[in-house]
Amino acid sequence: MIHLLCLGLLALPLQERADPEASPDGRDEYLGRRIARTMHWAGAPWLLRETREDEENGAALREWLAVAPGDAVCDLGCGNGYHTLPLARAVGDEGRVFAVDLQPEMLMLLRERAEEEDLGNLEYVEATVDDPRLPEASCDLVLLVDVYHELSHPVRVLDHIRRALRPGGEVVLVEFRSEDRAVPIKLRHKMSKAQVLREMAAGGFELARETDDLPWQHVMSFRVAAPDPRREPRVMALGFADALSRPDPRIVEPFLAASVDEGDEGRRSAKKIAVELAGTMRGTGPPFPDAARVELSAGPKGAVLARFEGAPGSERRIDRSECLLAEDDEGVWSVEAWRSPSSFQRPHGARRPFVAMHTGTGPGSPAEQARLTLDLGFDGIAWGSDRVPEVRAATEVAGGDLWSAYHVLDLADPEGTGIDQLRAAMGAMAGGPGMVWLALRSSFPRDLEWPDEREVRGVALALLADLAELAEETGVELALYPHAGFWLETDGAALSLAEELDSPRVGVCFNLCHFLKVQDAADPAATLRAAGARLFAVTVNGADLDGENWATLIQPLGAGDHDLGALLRLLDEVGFEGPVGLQAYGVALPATVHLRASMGAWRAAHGR
Amino acid sequence: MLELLTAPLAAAMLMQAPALPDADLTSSEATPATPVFDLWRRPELRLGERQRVIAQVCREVEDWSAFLTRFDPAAFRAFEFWADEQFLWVKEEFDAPQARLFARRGSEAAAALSAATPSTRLELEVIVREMHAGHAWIEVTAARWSERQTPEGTVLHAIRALDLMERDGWSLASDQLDRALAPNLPGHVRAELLRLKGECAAEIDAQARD
Repeated sequence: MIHLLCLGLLALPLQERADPEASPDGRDEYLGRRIARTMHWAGAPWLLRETREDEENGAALREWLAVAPGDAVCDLGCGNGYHTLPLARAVGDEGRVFAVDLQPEMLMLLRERAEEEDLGNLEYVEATVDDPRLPEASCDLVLLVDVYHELSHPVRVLDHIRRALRPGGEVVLVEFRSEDRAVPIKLRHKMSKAQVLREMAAGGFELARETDDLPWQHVMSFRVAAPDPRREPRVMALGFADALSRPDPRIVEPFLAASVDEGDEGRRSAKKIAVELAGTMRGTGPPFPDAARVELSAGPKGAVLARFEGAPGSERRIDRSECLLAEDDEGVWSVEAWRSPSSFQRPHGARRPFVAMHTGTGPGSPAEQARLTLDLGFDGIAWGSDRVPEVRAATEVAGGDLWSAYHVLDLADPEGTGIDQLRAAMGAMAGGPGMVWLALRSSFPRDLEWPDEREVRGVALALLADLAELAEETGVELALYPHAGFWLETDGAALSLAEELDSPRVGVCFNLCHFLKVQDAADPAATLRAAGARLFAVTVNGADLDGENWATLIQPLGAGDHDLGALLRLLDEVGFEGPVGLQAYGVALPATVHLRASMGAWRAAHGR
Repeated sequence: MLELLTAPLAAAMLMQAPALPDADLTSSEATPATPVFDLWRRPELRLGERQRVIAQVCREVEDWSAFLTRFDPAAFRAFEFWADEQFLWVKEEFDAPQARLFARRGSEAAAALSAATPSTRLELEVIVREMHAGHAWIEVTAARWSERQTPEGTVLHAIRALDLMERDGWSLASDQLDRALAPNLPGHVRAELLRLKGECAAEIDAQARD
């Protein structure tokens, strides 16, 4: 539903304007960039200057391109052939190189050089300003080295390139880095990554791969993207996340809106914000597009909200990061705001949300319990699957969030154990950070031969697959909750189920008290490392490591001999950024006393 | 775009008493309020803490970008405030309300803020909910009229007094300040007006000596 809304918003027709590319003069400017003038052929010797290889490392570029014998390659804006001749040698007699240039004089100079080498696999194509004149589906690779920024008709030329590419073909832009002032090239002949992504997305392309290994230039390879009105914000969101992962403020800055209003105190530059963002992200494991899914939805004021999600098996947890993108009147997409769990400041000093489980927040109405937990510095509350709309509203009014809905399903009787209530709860949590903590038990009679354990597992998987679909629709994650004495009792079993389901929406919840009750080992390191990116939530409490009953296994945080600090360091090590719930089942203290003491221990463990 | 970025001047704008999580809002007139310069300068240090401040209502803000916060216009109303220390007869201060605070739609706090006329002096219970996009996002959870107000008449008489002082009309200015001082004013307002009156008296004495 959110997707549809977003599609609808993005599909709104742009304000009609005269097409500047209908004129031979073309554009002076495109998406906020001043277009450079083409270099005259009289300057051709400069293209073969002795220092060029040091400055551009063309050999490294061609190695990265990995052109193979038999390929069909276009060197668009080939000039006198700095790259054309090596490419012609690389594709060999079976391959073909289209040498395309606007200026016939350049092509003549190239032909002279090619004839000296007796290369017969070149086709010389004199282009027009808006058409490279390439045959349809003729190229595996179209290469533009220091050329794209000079196109006066970029939209039309990209359109022709798209048609000239064979299925799977790539167009590679090599452009001097505008982010780097040390590159001694006029600013108008440089481009930022953000600008390249912006323009290529508008032209119907998505980034396929890139390298930062050339001395002065960006090298960015694009493939044709499926038609999608959400492409531009998605490309910009991924590009921005990638820029943050470097983290170089000079690369981050061009993704941001040009300037930021600072009220009466003047203007606050995007550069300053870029420095802050890059500084915030440094060393904190930022999102990384290679392993990211981006989900788009409608944001405020026509903006687009991009949520990042980790890919299964990725080393870094990148989900729950958000990016707000907006398009200005000129069609330029920029980032307006960004938030990641690791950069979010919380009252208690930890970067992970710390949440009071409703086993220890009562008595009182949801509003009273929410206010109590928020006043004591918790980020919100973890409730059951009942009264979710009421609890969510009460928690949000108190300034926090409903972080989870705990539910126990009986595999033998899902209807009888409230699967409809669970579905309703998931619907009511949509759009918020809340997830389902799902415990599974089985009341299948044990004295019957049917079903055997394998079949019970099949029932569980079918049930979970169904819930995972709902999770996909609602955006609400499912964390399998191992519980002592239940069918799903161990972390290993929970992880095994999650892995078999292989849904990005299904993970596991590590519960310290149940772990200590069930597992032989007191050290959860192996368990947490194995869970990796599937670790969606954690519950903690004070505990005695050798405790055997709930009274010793669940105590106020900080009590008992369990080392909270060691557990937190372990969570850091595995990159866990999800919510941590405070388990309070059976703690015989008034809620205020217990919550205050536990928050004190939590703060102390985080140096507060 | 990021219209809420806090300005240094705002640091001087709000008054507070120590954080008091469960306290009902009661008059702070009897309890001396403490200026909190760092509520705006370092709001992140007070994240999640309930603060008590005194401020003067300026206007309701109709439209803003909530970015990635919960302070969406559909759920919240936004109000600009002058700080208690801003003297509204000084044009530069009148033109520069420093704080933007939010109140949840439908809440008693929102109703109280909405009912207040410009320059009404309010005692507010606020919480710094989050830091985002360079802003402190602060929610008003309770609001009540302060016992001592600076009425519009005081402001107008003070403006006239300043104008007369500019033109060496010291005696007339002093008369205007007497009128400005007539209501039961907040202490710091009264002190400032008396300071101005003292200036007038000094000039009148000097002229008499000449």
